[in-house]
Amino acid sequence: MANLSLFGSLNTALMGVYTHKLAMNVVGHNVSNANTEGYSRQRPVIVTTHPLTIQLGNVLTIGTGSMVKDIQRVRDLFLDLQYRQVTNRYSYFDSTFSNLHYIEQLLTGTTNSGITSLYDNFLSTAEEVITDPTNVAAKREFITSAQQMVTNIKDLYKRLQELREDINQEINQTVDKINSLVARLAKLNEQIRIALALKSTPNDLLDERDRILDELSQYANISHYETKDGQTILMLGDQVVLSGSVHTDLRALERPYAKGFYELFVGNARVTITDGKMKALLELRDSTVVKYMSYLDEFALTLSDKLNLIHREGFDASGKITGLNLFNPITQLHSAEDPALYRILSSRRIMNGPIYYATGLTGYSNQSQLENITFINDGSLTLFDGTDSVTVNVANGSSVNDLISSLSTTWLSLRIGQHSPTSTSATYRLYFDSSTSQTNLRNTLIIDTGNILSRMGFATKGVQLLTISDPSNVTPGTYTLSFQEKLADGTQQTETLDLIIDEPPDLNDLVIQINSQLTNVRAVFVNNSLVLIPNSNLEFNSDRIAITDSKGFLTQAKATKTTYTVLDLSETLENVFASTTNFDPTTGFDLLINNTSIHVDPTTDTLTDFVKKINSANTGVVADLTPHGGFVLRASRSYDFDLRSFNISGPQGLFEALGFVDTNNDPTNFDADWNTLYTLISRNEDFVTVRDRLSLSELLTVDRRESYEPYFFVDQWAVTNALLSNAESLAVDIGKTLLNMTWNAINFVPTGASNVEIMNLISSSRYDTLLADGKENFYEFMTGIIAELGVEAETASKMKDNTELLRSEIEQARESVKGVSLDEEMANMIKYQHAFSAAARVITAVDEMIGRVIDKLGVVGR
Amino acid sequence: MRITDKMISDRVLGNIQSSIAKIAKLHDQISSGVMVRYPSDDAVVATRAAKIQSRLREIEQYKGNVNYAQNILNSYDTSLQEVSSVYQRLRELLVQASNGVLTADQRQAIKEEIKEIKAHLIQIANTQVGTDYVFAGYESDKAPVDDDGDIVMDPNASKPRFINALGYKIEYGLTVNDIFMTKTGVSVFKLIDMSLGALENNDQAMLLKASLLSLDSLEDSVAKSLARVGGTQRMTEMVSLRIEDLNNFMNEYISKEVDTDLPKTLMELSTNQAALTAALKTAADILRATLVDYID
Repeated sequence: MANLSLFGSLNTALMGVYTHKLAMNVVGHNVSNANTEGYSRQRPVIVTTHPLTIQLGNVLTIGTGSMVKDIQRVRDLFLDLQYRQVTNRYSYFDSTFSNLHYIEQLLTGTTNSGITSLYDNFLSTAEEVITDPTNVAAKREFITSAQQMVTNIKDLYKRLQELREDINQEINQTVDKINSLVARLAKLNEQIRIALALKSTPNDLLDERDRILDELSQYANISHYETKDGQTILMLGDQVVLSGSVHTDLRALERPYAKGFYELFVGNARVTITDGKMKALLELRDSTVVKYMSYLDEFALTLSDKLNLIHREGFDASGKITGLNLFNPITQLHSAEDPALYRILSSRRIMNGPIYYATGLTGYSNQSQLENITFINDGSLTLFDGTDSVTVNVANGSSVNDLISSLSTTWLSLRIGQHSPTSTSATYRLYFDSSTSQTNLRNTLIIDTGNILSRMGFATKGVQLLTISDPSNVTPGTYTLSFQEKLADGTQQTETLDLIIDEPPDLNDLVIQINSQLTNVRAVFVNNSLVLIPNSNLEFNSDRIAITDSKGFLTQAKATKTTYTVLDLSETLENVFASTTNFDPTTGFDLLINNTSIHVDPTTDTLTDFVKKINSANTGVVADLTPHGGFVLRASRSYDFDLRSFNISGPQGLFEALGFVDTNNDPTNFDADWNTLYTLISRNEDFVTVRDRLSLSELLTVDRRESYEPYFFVDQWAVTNALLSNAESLAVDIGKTLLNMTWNAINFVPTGASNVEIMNLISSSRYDTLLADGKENFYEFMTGIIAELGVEAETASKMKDNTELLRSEIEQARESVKGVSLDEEMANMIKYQHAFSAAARVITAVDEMIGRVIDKLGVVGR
Repeated sequence: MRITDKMISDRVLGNIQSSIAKIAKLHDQISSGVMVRYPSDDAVVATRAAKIQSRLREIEQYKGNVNYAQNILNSYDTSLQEVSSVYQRLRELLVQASNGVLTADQRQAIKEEIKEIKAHLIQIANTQVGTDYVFAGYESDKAPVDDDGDIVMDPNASKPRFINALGYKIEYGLTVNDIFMTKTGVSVFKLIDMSLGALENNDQAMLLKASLLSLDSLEDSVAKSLARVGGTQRMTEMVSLRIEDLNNFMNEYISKEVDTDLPKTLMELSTNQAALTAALKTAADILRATLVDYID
C-alpha cells in the first residue's frame, strides 16, 4: 500500500522554511526601502504547492507545502494615471502663474505706480499747460512726462521680450531633460523585456520606470501603454517618442524668422503639446506675453498717431512754428514691398467753406404737413446780405407757404424738399436755399424777431449788435465818428462817419446817412430800431471796431448792445459736397465697408456725425477728424492694423470731395461724378496699386507681424528731438481758420500764446474710443490691461492651489496603496518569524520521526 | 484604509507648510498695509482700485487748476473794485467841471486829474499776474492797451481763458473788451477822451449831456463785470469743495477695498500662530512611535 513518505513531510516543512525565509527577505527589502523615492512595497505571494493524490484506503489529496509564487509590487495603475494627469495640470498652472506674476509686477508695480500712472501723469502735465500756458516750465514738464512715459513703456516692453527669450532658453533645456529621461526609459524597456522573457517580475526596474514616467508627466502630456512583452510605448503630445527600445529625440528647431525661437519636432513632424510645463512655456512665449506686448504696441501706435495729427495743426506760443510732430511717427521698417496700411489722412481740410443750405424741420411724411404749419407770433425776418437788407414780415396765423412766397423774391429761398434719413425711407424737410443767388450764407445775417426760425426748426444763436431805438435826446448838430476796424484778414481800416442831425432826429435819415458813408458797418432797420451791423469782413463782431465819438453822439442816442436771434449755420455735408457733379442731397449716400452699409443724410449730418456713424457701425475701420477738419481712417487691431483687409467703396464724388483721391488729376476742382461707384480699397489688390490710387492722401504704413510675434512698434516710439531740445516749440494754439470758397482750408493764422485749444484736444483725446476695435478709449484700455492680467493671474493662482491640493490628495491615496508601513512590516516580520520557527520545529519533529523510523523501527527488544 | 508612516509625515509636514504660508501672507498684509497688492490677489478689486487711483490723480490736477483760476479771479476782483472807485472820482470831477463857474486854472487842474485817471485805468487794464496780462485773452504775453488808450489786443485773441475741472470747462477769463468796452460800443478810454475834449472847449452842454450820461454806461459795465467775477468765484468755490469731497470719498472707498483691516488681520494672525504651535507640538508626538519601538 502506498504511503506518505516521511521525507515528503520533511520536504513540506522544508518548503515552509524556504518560503518564510524568502518572505523575511521581502520584509527586510521593504523596511530598508521604506523611504526610497517612488518605491512600491513588495508582497510575497505565497501559494500552496501542487498537492499529491494518494490512495490510502480512500483517495486523499495531500498538500505538499507552500512556495512563493511571485513577489508582487503593490501598485494601483489607476491612481498612477490620475496622479500624472494632475501633475501635468499643476505644472502648467505653476509655470503660468509664476510668469504672470512677474509680468504683473512689471506692468502694475504696486498700486501706485505702473502703466496707468504714467499715462495719468502725462495727461495732468497737459492740464497744467492748459491752466498756465505762458509758464515755460509747464511745457517742459509736459515734454518730460511724455518722454518718461515713452521710456518706461519701452523698458517694460524690452523686459517682456527678454522674458520671452528666457522662456525660450528654458524650453530648450526642458527638451534636453525630456530626451535624457526618454533615453533612460528606452534602456529600461530593454532590461524589462529580458527579465519578463525569463519569467521574472523585475519590480525594481518597474519602480524605476514609474519614477521616470512621473517626472515626465510634469513636462508635457504623455500617454503610455504596455505591450505584451512588457515594454512601454510612450507618446509625448501627439507623437510617439518611444517604442520598445527605439526612442526618437524631441528636437527644438529654430524658427526661420524669429530670432532663435524654437519650435518642437519629433523626428520631422511637428509635435503639439497640450498640457504640462512645456505647454505653459510655449503658450507664454507665443501667445500670452505676445498679447501684452501687442497691447503696448497698439497703445503706442494709436497714441502717437492721434496726438501727432493734433499737434501738427497747432502753432507754438510765438505763432511762428507749426507742423511739428509730438512723437516720431511709428512707421514701417522692414516690409517695404507689402506693408500694412494703418491710416489714411485726407488732403483736404474740410472747414469754413461756403454755405448755401440750412435745414430746419425734417422727417415729415408729406409736403402739405410742412406747408400748413402756422406761425403764432407776429414777427419779421430781416435778411442782411452784407450791404443791404430786406425785411419780410410774418403775421400771426400765416403759414409756411405764405412765407415761401414772400421770400421767393429775395436772395434767400425757403423750400420744401425730400431727404432720406435711412436708406429706405424718404421724408420731407424744410430748408433755406441761397444757391440760385449764390449768396454765401456766412456773409449774411438773418435776424428773427418773432421766433419764426425756431418754429420752422432752424437752429439759432444770439449776436450782440449796437442798437439805437430812441434818438430824441441827441442835440442837433454835426457829429464825426471814427471807426477803426481790424478786419478778419488781419488788415486795419479806418472809416469816418459825418452825421448831420436835424430837429427832430429821424432814424430813417440816420440809416441813409450811415449807409452812404460806411462800407463795413451798415445800418439796418429792425423792429423800428436802427441796428449797426459790422458785416462779414468784421465777422459780425463789434469788438473789432474802436469807435471814437468825440461829441458823444452814441451816448446821447443811448445806443446799447442788444442781443438778436439770428440763423445759426451748420456745416452739413450737403454744403461740403455741393459742387460735385450729380450730387443729389435728397437720396443721401452710402459708404460700404465690407458688408456693412453706412447711410448718411447730407441734409442733416455734418462731418462729425459722419465719423460717429462710421464708428458706431463697428466694422473695424475707425474714423477720426483732425482739429482742422482732416478726415482720417484707421484700421483696428482685429484686422492687424491693415486697411487692406477691408473693401471700402462708395460714390466717387465722396472720396474726391473728402480729399482721398483725385480721379481727374485736377486739384483746382473736384467734379468727380457722384453717381459712379468707386472702390477706395479692395482686399485683393497689391500694395503698389492701392498706394498709387491714394497718392493724394497721406498714408501711414506699418510692418506686418510674424505669427506668434508682437508688432515691435514700441521700439520705434520716441518724443521728437525738436521738442526735447526746445520745449517752447510745443504747439498750443489751434489758430484761426480763414474762410475759403473750396471747402479746403489752407490759410490759418495764430491767435495768441494763451490759446491752448491744441493742448485741450490732446487732454480730451483720452476719451476718444480709438482702441480695441473702436470700443475702448486710452484710459479704459490701460485699466483693461490690468484687469485682463489680473484675471488671468488670479485664475492661474487659484487653479494652481486647487491642483496642488488635488495632487497631494492623490499622492496620499497612492501612498496608502504602495507605501511601506513600518507597523505592518513589523507585524509581518513577527508573522514570518514565528512561521519560520514553527516550520523549523516541524522539521525537527519530522527529523525525530525519521530518526525513530531509521533507528528504532523493526528493532524490537534490541 | 492603510496608513503608512510616509503618509502621516507627508500630511503633517504639508499642514505645517500651509499654516506657515498663511501666516506669511497675513504678515505681508500687515506690514505692507494693503490686502490687494497685485491684481492676481483679487482682479476685480485691483481693477477698481486702479481706476479710482487714476481718477484721484486726475482730481489732484483739477485742484491745482481751480487754485490757479481762483488766484486770477481774486486779481480781477481787486482790479474791478479799484476801477469802480476810480469811476466814482471821475463822476465827482465831471460834476464839478460841469459847474459853469470854474476858472481856466481850475478846469486845467480837473483836466490833469482826469488824464491821470485815464493813465491809471490803462495801468489796470494792463494788470499782470506774474508775466501774464490777465485782461489780454489769448495774447497774454502782450499788453492789451497801449499808452494812448487804444485797445491793441487782436480781436481773434479776445476769448476767455479757461480751466478744465471735473470734466467740464470753466471759463473764468475776462478781456479788456468785457470790462473797458461799454454798451454804447465806445471804449472807456475814448469816452474819457471825449470828456477831456469837452473840458478843453468848455462845452458845458456836452459835458452835461454826453459825459455824465457816459458815466452811467461806465458804472454799468463795471457792475456787470463785478457780478460776473463774483459768480465765477462762487462757482470755483463750489467746484473746489466738490473736489475735496470727491477726494475724501474716493480715498475712503479705496481704503475700504484695498487696505488691510488691521484688527481683523492681527486676530487672524494670532489664531493661525496658535494653530501652528499646536500642530508642531502634536507632530512631534505623532511622528515618534511605531511598532518597532515596542517589539524587542
